[in-house]
Amino acid sequence: MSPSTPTAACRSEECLVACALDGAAFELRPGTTREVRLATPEDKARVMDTLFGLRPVRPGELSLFGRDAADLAPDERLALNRRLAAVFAEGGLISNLKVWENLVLPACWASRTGPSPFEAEALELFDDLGLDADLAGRLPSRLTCFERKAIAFVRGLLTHPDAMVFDSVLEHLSEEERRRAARFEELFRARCMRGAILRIEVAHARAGHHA
Amino acid sequence: MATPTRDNAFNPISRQDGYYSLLMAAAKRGSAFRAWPTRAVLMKQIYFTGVQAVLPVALLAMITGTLVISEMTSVLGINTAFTTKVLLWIVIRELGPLLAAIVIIARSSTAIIAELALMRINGEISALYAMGVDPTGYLLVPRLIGVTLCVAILSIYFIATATLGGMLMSALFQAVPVYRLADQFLAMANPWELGYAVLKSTVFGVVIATVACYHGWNVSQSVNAIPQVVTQGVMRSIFLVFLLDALFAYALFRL
Repeated sequence: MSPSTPTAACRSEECLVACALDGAAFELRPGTTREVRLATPEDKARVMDTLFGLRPVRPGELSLFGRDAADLAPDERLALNRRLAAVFAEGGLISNLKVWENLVLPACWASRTGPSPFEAEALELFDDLGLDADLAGRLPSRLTCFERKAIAFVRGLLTHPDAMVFDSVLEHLSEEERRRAARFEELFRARCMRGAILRIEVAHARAGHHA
Repeated sequence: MATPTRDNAFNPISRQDGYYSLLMAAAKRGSAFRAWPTRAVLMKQIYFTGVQAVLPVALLAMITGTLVISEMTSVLGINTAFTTKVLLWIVIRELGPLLAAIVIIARSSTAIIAELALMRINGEISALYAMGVDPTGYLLVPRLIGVTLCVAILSIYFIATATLGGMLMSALFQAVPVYRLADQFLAMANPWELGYAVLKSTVFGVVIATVACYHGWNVSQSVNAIPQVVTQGVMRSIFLVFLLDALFAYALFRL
């Protein structure tokens, strides 16, 4: 990986995310799409962990919504995580919750309401993605890889985030599933016009899957 | 600002700080109950720990009550006053809280430790944090409250079932007049005794829940570690419950 100089730039709200890790320097502005291709899965994990506060950051390494992540108290960091949403490579669903509970968990947590306000929007998104409504009663272990990613996408979209992070979203999908997954960005754009999209991929994995 | 370590970056409960820090971290997040998901977890916890334990606790209580009364009757004959006094001492003061706690350790502590450990290893606790859901408030607070409530309520249920069941079984099989036992029991029963049992059970509940959450939360990143943390958590809970029981007995004796 080529080293880059850490920067604490991008301190305005107009810049949603600015990352200055070695080998992964990027900015994310409202309404834009960025793709970050990393050399190894370990590099990808490091960037994801940094973005979501799962590893310590040094001053200047990451700026979130105009704030240096190193200066954030844990509760502030948690609050900023609610403005990001992610579709993790394996979905990142909670295994002991049914799909419906997974779907509404972050939205209910953030809004302090029950699940009913999100029902109509979730069903509409299920329709848009061609998902069977019966999935809602299943446990994540009984879903396919595509279904897990699609549920994670719907879960993220229900929170109306400022930015959506797609972590190797096309990995381990069939051709048909990739076509369906390609709709994720379109649906996100339709619902969050000023939202930003960040695709994080491992370079060799992506090349392999698109061959 | 100091550079955060991985533990304090997203985990307020480090392995070194122990049970107390977990309890304090959970206590600071009482507001988590404003969120529907936390209340849903609490309901599930009460169902699995309390409601599903009703039958095993009832059976254990019936057997215990019968054993206490039948042993007393076989040693002392039909001496209702003394039998009732012993029932009161043993069941309310000691066996009710202790056996209810042991049933919860066997059924729910193991489940909580394994569930949290698996969530940690599968990266689900990190996923919660990444979604902006506070893992301490969402996972630990409802488990601590649910288990504590259930231990206290199941202890009262154990005491009621053991005394009533014991009296009925003795009346059936040993011709001890149940009304005499009941009269004696009501005459001797003291609300303070029940208050003492509830206080003791509540303390047991807090300890059981804290130990279970701590060991499940602090598992190392390997599935092989799950049986180890389950065993450690269960043994630690049993030891602490017996130690506290002895301290309560000593305190009562001194009073």
